[in-house]
Amino acid sequence: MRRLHTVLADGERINSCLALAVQYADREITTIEGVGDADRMHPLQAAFVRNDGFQCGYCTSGQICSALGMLAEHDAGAPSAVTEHLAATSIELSDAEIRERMSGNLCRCGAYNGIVEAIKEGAR
Amino acid sequence: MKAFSYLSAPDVATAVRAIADRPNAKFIGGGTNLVDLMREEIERPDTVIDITRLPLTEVEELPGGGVRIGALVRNSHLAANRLIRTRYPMLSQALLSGASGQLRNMATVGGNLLQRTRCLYFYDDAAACNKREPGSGCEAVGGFTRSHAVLGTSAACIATHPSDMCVALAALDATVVAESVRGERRIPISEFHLLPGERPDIETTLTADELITAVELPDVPVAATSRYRKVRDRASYAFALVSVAAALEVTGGTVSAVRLAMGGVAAKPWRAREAERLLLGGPADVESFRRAAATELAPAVAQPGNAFKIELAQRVIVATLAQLLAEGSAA
Amino acid sequence: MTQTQTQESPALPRAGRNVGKPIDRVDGKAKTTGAARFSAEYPYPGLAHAALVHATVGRGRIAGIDVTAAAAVPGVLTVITHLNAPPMKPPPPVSLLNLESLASATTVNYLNTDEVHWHGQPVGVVVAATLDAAVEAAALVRVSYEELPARVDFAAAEGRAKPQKGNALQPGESRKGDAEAALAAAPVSVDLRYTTPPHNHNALEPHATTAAWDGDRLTVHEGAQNIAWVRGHLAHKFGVPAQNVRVISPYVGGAFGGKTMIWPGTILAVLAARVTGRPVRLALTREGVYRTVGGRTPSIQRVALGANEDGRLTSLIHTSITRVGAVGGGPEQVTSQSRHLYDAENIFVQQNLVKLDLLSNTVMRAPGESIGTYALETAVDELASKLGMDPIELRMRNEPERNPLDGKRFAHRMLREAYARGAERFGWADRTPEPGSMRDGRWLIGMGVASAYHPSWQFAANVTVRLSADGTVVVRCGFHEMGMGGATAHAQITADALGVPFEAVRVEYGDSDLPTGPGAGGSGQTASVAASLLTACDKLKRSVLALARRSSGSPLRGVRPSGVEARDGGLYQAGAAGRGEAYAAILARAGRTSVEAQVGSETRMGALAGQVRFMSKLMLDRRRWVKAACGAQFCEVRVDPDTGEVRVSRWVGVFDVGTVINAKTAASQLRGGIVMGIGMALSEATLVDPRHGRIMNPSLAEYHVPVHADIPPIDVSWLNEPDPTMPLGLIGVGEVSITGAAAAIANAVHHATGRRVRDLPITLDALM
Repeated sequence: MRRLHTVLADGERINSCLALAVQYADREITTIEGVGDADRMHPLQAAFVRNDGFQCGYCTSGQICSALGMLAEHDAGAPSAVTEHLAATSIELSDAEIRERMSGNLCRCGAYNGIVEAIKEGAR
Repeated sequence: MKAFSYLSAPDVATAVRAIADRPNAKFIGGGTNLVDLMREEIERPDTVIDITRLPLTEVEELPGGGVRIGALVRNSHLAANRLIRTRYPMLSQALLSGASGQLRNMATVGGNLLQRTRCLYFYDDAAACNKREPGSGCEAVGGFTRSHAVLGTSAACIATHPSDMCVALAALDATVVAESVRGERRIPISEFHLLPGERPDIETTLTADELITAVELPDVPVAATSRYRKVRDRASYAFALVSVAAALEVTGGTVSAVRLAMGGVAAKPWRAREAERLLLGGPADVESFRRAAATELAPAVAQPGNAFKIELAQRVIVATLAQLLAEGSAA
Repeated sequence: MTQTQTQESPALPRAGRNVGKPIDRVDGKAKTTGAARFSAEYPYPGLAHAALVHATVGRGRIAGIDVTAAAAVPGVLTVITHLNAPPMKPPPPVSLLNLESLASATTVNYLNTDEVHWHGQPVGVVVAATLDAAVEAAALVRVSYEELPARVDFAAAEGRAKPQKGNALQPGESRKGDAEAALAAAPVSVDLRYTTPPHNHNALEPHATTAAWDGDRLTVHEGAQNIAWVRGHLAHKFGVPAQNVRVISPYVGGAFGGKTMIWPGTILAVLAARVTGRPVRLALTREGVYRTVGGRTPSIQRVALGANEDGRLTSLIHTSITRVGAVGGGPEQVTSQSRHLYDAENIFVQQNLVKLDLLSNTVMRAPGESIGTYALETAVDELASKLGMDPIELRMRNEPERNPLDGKRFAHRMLREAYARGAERFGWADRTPEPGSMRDGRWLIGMGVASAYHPSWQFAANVTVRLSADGTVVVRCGFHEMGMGGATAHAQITADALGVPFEAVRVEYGDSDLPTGPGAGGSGQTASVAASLLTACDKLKRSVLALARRSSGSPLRGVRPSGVEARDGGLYQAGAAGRGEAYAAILARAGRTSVEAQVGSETRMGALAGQVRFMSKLMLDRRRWVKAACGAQFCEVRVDPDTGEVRVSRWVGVFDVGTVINAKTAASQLRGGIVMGIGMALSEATLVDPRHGRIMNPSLAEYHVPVHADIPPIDVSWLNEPDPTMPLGLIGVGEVSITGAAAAIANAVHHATGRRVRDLPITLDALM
């Protein structure tokens, strides 16, 4: 089972496929199952369903975990490659910011529009 | 991936002793490059020594205005650091344009210095590659060379260094601090990466038993007005075709300070010293930017697939300097 | 024919309660919570892992294999090569009379031969207790070859191209009048050459097979676009009856054509399980997918157009060269759209082939039209420039009333309406025609349009529908879910057909134990299933009504079927106040727990009869109609004048796809095709080294599919006018939107920069 997954290590998003498990032994790993299940969906998971932020579903776990990590990074004031004013203390989470920050999660079905909408809805 | 033994080092002294005692051992930090290469069976260490628990995760101001960056500071944390964002924005931008959010959360500063090339023929174990198997030849020559080098190449190798961060470090005259059982060694960034020559398999001057503990940035006031511009084949999450780290200070229409380095053009981050020399003290205008860029690229040698890089590199230099000039005059 | 027609298209859509609505996917929760399980994620006790050894020559014979080091890796169970592999039956010869024979991706009997036919062909499979051990050992297998000359250079083979032989489904050549003479005589003309590179599907789920034998019964978990083909092919290869093979495929992690044929990994996983007596998983690496699963052929195309000064086309010539592998693959209908899009007086289309020592090419999203529309629709734009005419105006002047080649009727054609609506939504009127005339700051702005075109298909589908006494409905059909949302769409159709709530319907799919579904291809799956599903629902209602009519207590006693409608969970006499009763009441009174209706037969003879019926209907249909989806693609690009970087900044696509069943999932599919079209236009290419035929960028790092940052908001809409010849009036939406996309971008790039790029992808070096 080597899905190209994004998981959260102590809330930070990482690629599980490039991690040696032993290196993360003392960190708390959250996978999609830890985000929410069918009975208790996380608002972001529900937003992905409402906005059809997927088709085949293969990348979806990674997109959702990545989005959670990305939103936490943004909350902490982290800039991105499209942030015009690096010195700014607060950065508006524009569509361009979301797209750049989510670019490490490929979706070959091309559900990118729905994913961005889901993240905007889930972030509110 | 080949089976390997794993040990975790609690402190620097243990780490450097461990590697000195073991043949064919590798340090592992974020693992983003090493684990990938191990999965590809290109790197086949017997032992990996985990250094992620070493206390090398601080970014500190140095007396005299410089900054010391622990080797295990994650790329994302360094990019978001206030000191870096305000005093060395080109470094923040370089880091942020590399890889993806996830990978930047894993990758360390030390590991980024040691990234290996993305040459298609290096990655393919069925291809001849002097970097992977010294003496086997270079199949990239005559093959797909869109991503390859135009400066400092040799008959043995035309690969590029893939790092964005290192381009900024080269422009900033960073120093790499390394530790081994023999003690500490300080290596200027300009002497850290090697051009391929006859031995493209030897990529840096770091010895096999040395551990990178820190990168130090000197005080570079001009770097406060700096940019990193990366040009690639899609909008994000791709290696550079050409990138430029530039810093510019203009006083009374004259270039009073300048830093310039390029990525994607050579086996090492390419400090454009010739261009800097021409620019410094000269008029700050597009014409002189053009002349400086052309001079820097004059020795470039193209492959059939990458001739465009010579022109592209000059255009990106000019455009980036022009943008800094415009921003400087606006300020 | 009328009879068939009414039966297969019982009704054009009334305002259904569910059909057309943007209903959330029924598998949405499973996909967003990690509960959806893909083929490599099924646990089995004692599961072993397999890894492939790939040939490192383009053509030759295996001279020797040394497995000593590999076999010595701890955990390795066996190394299977042609020296020790048990015999398998060679693939059956390909025939249109046996559609299942199309399943063979190549003619190679893997590991039963010492011949190597392409660089990367599997020459061994290592089976081990762990994946890491299998992968490590596979790297240690040493194979030596007696190398033979291999023809692998597509560009160099151009001169050897031969006209493609046509078949019943795909003519290789057509002509009307004398197109060359008309071209030479035309007052205004263009004669252009275009090239497109090979592409790979890059479904994010790499192909994976989990195979378990129990005696001579086989269970296979496999992400597949045609589970019936997988079952039939494996049964053939391993000499067991088809009913002994079960293929389970509820979730497919993307496919785009790449999971249509049976590729070597599937067969070798089953072989490895047979040899070791253990359940085996063979999950290909990304590189493994590139080496063993074919992709889209490259193409060289000529499009020549001749016109009068008023823009009326006097000549249209479109010829293509594509490649097939020496051991398999098929022609691409590159000129397909050029037979239907323009009302030229003289037309010549011809497809040519070269055969190379490379892995078979295969179908990939809109095979033919995706690359064919790039050339045709760019050439039309070039002609418009030459005429000094608006490119939409030029198209409208040449919009045919009937099929240009032969005068057949269009079942449905609303390209004019698509352009009109698209131009308005996009703001085409604001475009200044002069190239390079529009800017936003330092960015050059370009706007381009192109037509989309994709034929519509319909295949045989077996379906059962069961209504239970509690009012719930189960639909069973072995169709495929790669993200199109079939289960949701068919629940909507069923709910409306039976007059039950959407939530009362459960749809079972993706399992060869279910009634045989259609393959997922040609954008035909939804229409195919819908046709049978509607018939099954009709039969079911009649059965239920028959129960009621016989019952003295029923308000429906003696009522004729034509006077009954299904609504509110039951059957009622037509009209607002019509009397009737709930299904539950009818079944309860009749003492039935359920009523079931079936369409299609699973017996050998029944299946054959179904296939014959399907083929004859197809032929009859095609003799009478030209059926297709079409659309108008509008895009805006920004080009950096210094670097030539292209960014797509806006998109409007308006499509004529008949009735849309689910507004949410259809929009996603249409957007997805455009996204793939953006990749095709700007960044995607599989690099086949012409020196030896090896693919050099077999990874997602070096084959550049679009990322989030490449994709702007995409405005898609549809005209929602039913196609009267299709079930519910629906035409598939899976492929049409990739067609025309690359041309729209190329045309926009020209508008921004004045440069015509005639070789895909349009990378920045072409624009500097």
